[in-house]
Amino acid sequence: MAAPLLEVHDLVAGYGGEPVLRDVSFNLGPGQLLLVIGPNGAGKSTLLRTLIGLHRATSGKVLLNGRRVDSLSAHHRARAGMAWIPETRGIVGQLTVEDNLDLARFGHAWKPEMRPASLERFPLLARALHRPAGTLSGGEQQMLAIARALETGSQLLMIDEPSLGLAPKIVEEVMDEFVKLRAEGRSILLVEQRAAQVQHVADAVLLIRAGRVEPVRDRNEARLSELSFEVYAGAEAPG
Amino acid sequence: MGAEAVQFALNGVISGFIIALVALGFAALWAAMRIVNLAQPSMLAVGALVAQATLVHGVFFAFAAGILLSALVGIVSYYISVRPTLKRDPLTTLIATLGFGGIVQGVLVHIVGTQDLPMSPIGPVGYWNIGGVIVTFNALLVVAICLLMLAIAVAVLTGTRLGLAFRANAWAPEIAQANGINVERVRVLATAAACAYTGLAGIMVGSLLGSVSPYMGLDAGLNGMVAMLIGGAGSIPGAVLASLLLGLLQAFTGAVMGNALQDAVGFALMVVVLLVRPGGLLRQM
Amino acid sequence: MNAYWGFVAMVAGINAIAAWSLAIAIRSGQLSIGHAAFAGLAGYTAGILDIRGVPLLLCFLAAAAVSAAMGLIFSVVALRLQGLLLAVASLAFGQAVMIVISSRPELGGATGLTGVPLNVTLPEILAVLAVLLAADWLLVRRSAFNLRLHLLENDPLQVTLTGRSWQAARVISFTLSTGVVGIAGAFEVFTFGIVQPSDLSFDRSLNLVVFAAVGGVYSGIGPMLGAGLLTAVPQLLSFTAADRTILYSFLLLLVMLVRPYGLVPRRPVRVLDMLLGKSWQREYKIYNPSDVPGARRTRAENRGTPKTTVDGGTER
Repeated sequence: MAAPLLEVHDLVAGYGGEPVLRDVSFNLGPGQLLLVIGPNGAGKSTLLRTLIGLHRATSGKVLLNGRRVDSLSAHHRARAGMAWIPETRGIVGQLTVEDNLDLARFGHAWKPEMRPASLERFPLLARALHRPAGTLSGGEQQMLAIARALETGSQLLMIDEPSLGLAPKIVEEVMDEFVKLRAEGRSILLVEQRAAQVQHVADAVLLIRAGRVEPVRDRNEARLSELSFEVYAGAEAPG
Repeated sequence: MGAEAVQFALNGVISGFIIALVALGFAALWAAMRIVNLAQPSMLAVGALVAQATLVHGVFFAFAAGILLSALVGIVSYYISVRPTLKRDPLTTLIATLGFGGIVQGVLVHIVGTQDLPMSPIGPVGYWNIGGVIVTFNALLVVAICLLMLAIAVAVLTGTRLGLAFRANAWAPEIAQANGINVERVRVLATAAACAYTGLAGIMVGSLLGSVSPYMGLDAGLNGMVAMLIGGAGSIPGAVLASLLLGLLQAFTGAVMGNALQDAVGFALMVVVLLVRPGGLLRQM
Repeated sequence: MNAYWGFVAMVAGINAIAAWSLAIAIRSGQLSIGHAAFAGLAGYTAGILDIRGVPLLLCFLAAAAVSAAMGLIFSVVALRLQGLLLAVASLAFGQAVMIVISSRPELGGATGLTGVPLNVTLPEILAVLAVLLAADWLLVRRSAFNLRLHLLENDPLQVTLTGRSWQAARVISFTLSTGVVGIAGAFEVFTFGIVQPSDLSFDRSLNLVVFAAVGGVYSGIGPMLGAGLLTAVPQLLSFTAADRTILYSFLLLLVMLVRPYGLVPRRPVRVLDMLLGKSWQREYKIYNPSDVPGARRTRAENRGTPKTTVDGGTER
C-alpha cells in the first residue's frame, strides 16, 4: 500500500480548556476520498481548522507526506501542500474572481500555465473574471474555490460542507468534480452533511461524535442514511 | 478676492495631501490588523527631526534617513507593543502603542529639547506668481512627492503580489493564511510602510513650515486619524479623499475664522460625517 | 515641607478621582483619551461661577453638570464607533475643546482663567474619594450597573437582556464618568487657583489613562492607587516633565505587556470578604469579570460562560 499522504495521530484540540476533539487518529492515502460525517458541534469543522493550522491543537501529531506539520503555522502548511475550503467557500468576496485565483500564487506549486487550464476547466470563471467574487452564485463560488485549490498544486484538499446552500443538482456537479480530482491523484478530506448523497464517492467514512472518531465499516447506502439520521436526530454517543 | 480664494484652496490642497500620507498610514494599519498604532503620529517628528539633522549631507540623504528611521522605529513599535498584545484585545494594543509613542516622544524631547528647530526647505527657492496666487517651488515639490507616494501605494496594492497579499489579509485574514500568505510579514511591512509614509509627511511639514519640533506628531497625526475616520476606517481612497476635504475645509476656516479653530473644524466635520454616514464617506475597505 | 506634601497629596487625590472616573468609562468599553478636556471644562465652569460669587457647592454641581452634558453629547455621537475608533475620536474631541477654549479671549486665552480663590483643602478631596470608594463597593460591585459594564465591554448585545438598550447603557456610563471627572476638574481649579488650556491637553489625558490602566480599572481602589503612586513618585524623584512622560509611557507599555488588567487584581480585598462573611462567588457566577473571553487563563471557572443564542439554544 502506498505511504499515506496524511497521517493524524491522537489529535486533541479544544477551546479554552474544553476539548472538542479527543484522540482523533486516521490516515488518508493518495487518491483517496475520506468522508467525515457527524452531528453539529461534533468537531468536524474544528478538525479541518486544526489540520490547516488556524486552530492550535493541544496535542497530537499531523504528518503530511511523512513530514510533521503540526508545529508549522497555517501559511507554511498551505505551502507544504494542504488546501482548505471552509464552509463559507473560502473566497474573498470583495476581490475579483481573478484576484481570488491569484491567491493560489502563494501556494505550493503554482505555475503560470495553470491559469488557462483552470479557465478551461471552469469556463464560467473565465466569463466572470473581473467581477467581484461575492457576486457569484453559491455553486459558482464553490467552483472558484476548487479552481483555486487546484491551482495551488496541493495534493491534499480539505473541504468543509461544500453542499451547503446548493441545489441538489449543483451538488451533483460539485461531487463529480471531486471524483475527477480523486482520479487525478489528489486526496480529499470531505466533511459533508448529506452523507447519503455523497457516500458513493468515498473510499472510507469517518464518523465524529462528541469529538471522538468512529470508523464506519458498513457503508451501504441504507445503513449510512440510517446512521446519518441517527446522529443528526441526536442519538446518544455510544458508551 | 478670487485670487485669495484660490490661494486658500491651494494651501488647503497642499496640506490635504500631506494629511493624506498620514491618513493612508492609519488606513493601512487598520486594514492590515484592525488596530490603530498611536505611536505612528510620533513618526512625523522622527522623520522631520532626522531629516533636519541630516540635511547637511544633502536632500536625498535627509529624505532617506528620515524615512528609513521612521520605518525602523515603526517596526520596533510593532514587535514591542503590537504583536505581544494583538492576541489579547484591541484596547490593550491601543494603550500599549500609546505607551510606546509616549516613550518615543519623550526621548525626542530629551534629545532635542522642547523648542522648535529651524529647517531649510527641501525644494528650490523661488515661486511663481500666477495672477496673484503664489505657488512656491517648495510647495510644488511637496505636492509632487505626495502624488508620487500615493501613486506608488496604489500601484503596489493593485499590481503586485504583495499588494494582493495585503488586500486579501485586509478582507479575510484566515483565508489569506490558508492560501499561503504570511500574514505576519504583511503586518510588519504594513507597519513599516505606514510609518515611512508618516515620517515622509513629517519631512514635508517641516519643509513647508520651516521648523520642526518633537511635538509635531500630535497635530498632523490627529488630522490624519480624523481623516481616516471620515473616509471610512481602512479605506485608502476614502482616507485620501477625506484628507483633501479636510485640508480644504481647514484652509477656508483658517481664512474666515482665524487659525485657532482649524483643528476644531476637523473634529466638527468628523461628527457630521459620522452622524450621517457612520461607516465613513466611502465603503470600508 | 509639610505644605508641599499636603499639596502633592491634593493633586494625587484629584488625579485619583479623575482616574476612577476614567476607569468606569474604560470598563464600559469606551476608552477616552480626552478625559482631561471634560475635567478642564468643568474647571473653567467652576472657576467662572466662583468668581461671580456663586456658592461653592453650586459651583461644583454646575461644573459636574457641564462636563456630564459634554460627555453625554460625545457618547451619543460616538455610539457609531467602537473601541479604537472611539478612542481616536475622543482624542480629537479633547484637542478640539482645548483649541476652542484657548481661542476665547474672555476665558483668558492661552494663559487661562486666573485669580480663582483656593477654596478647597485636602479633607474635602479625601471625603469625595471615600464616597466614591464606598459607592463602588456597595453599589457598583453588586449591581446591574456592574453587570452592564461587563457586558458592554464584552458582548454589548446582551445588555438588552438586563432590561436596557446597550446604547442607553453606554451613554449613561460615559455621562457618569465625565460627571465625576468634572468634580475632579472643579477641585483642581480651586486647588491651583488657575485653569489653563494646557490642562485639557492630550498630555494630561494620557496621564489619566496611565493612572487608570496601571492601577487596574476593574476595581475602585485600583485607579486611585495608580494615580496616587504615579503622582507621588515623580515628585519624589524630581523628574522633569519629559522624564515623567517617558516614565509614564514606559510603565504603561510594561503593564500592557505583563499585566494588562493593572496592578490591582479584579477581585480585590478577599480579606474583607472573609471579614464580612459574604461569598461573592454566587453573585459572580454569571458575570465574573475574570471570565472575559480572550483572557489567557485555564482555571476551571474560566471555561467560558455559556452564551444564549437567539433561539434559546446554547452554543460554545
